[in-house]
Amino acid sequence: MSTIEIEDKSVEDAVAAACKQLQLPREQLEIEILSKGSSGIFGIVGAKKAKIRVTSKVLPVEAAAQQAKEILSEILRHINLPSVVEYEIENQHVVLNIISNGSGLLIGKRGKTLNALQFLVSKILSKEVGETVPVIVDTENYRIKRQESLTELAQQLSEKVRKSHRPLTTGPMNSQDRRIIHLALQEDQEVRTKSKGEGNLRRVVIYPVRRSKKAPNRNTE
Amino acid sequence: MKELVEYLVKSMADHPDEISLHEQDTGDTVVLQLKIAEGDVGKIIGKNGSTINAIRTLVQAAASSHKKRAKLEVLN
Repeated sequence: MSTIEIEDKSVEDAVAAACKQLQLPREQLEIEILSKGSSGIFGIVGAKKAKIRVTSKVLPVEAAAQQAKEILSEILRHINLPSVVEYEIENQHVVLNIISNGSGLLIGKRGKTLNALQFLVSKILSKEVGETVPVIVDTENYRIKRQESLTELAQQLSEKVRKSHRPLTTGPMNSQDRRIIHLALQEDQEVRTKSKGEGNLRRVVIYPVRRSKKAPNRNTE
Repeated sequence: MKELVEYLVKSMADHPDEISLHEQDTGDTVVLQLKIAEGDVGKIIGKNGSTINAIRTLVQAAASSHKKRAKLEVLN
């Protein structure tokens, strides 16, 4: 746990500075006010700075990211493929990127291997850290490419649904992929989306929206 | 391949000392037989087999990087 002390014009400013420095939202910080500070008379005479002590309540993502990188590297060490792992933090998500020879071995059919890596790294990390940390494992920009192709698929299906006025169903998809479909069609006023099915067989159904309906009932996960 | 499974299972199990893993190499196919503590079975298999299937996927990837096939069985 890291503790820092920050001085600024007001308590508010100091808190904002602390959030920025630790890259954490305010709810995850424990804030102790050491001195409230005052602006003095007309902000000139006797101005005193506010001072706060801030302790992060959560394990810093940075440490978790480092640990996640170690776990992934350890797994990849057993796969006969030269690879390097680098990490970054994107809105509280740990993003691990594998740099390898680009053979697609680490991606697998429809990202099966990549998803398995992601699943296991996140599971092991959660056990070690004691809380759930969202982890994304990527290689060769696969996640972005997947998002693009799924968005395109969503648009094609939506087009068909609009023309035929009949609902259409995608193939079985994991939650990440379904989310991309839902988001892609969120702004589309002529169709609505809903997830159906159980477990691995869960899929997205795209329904046409009847014109008479006033407010389309959107259902996203 | 054996070490990969060992590492994965050990880091997820509550009783890492009670793991036994037997490797049988028949030329182009490697068969791995895993035994774990009774209390860990559910954890290693996961909901709808999600965890064991993820481990299998990685073992298969590791095996194909050695131009081999692999099978992983849980013997409990």
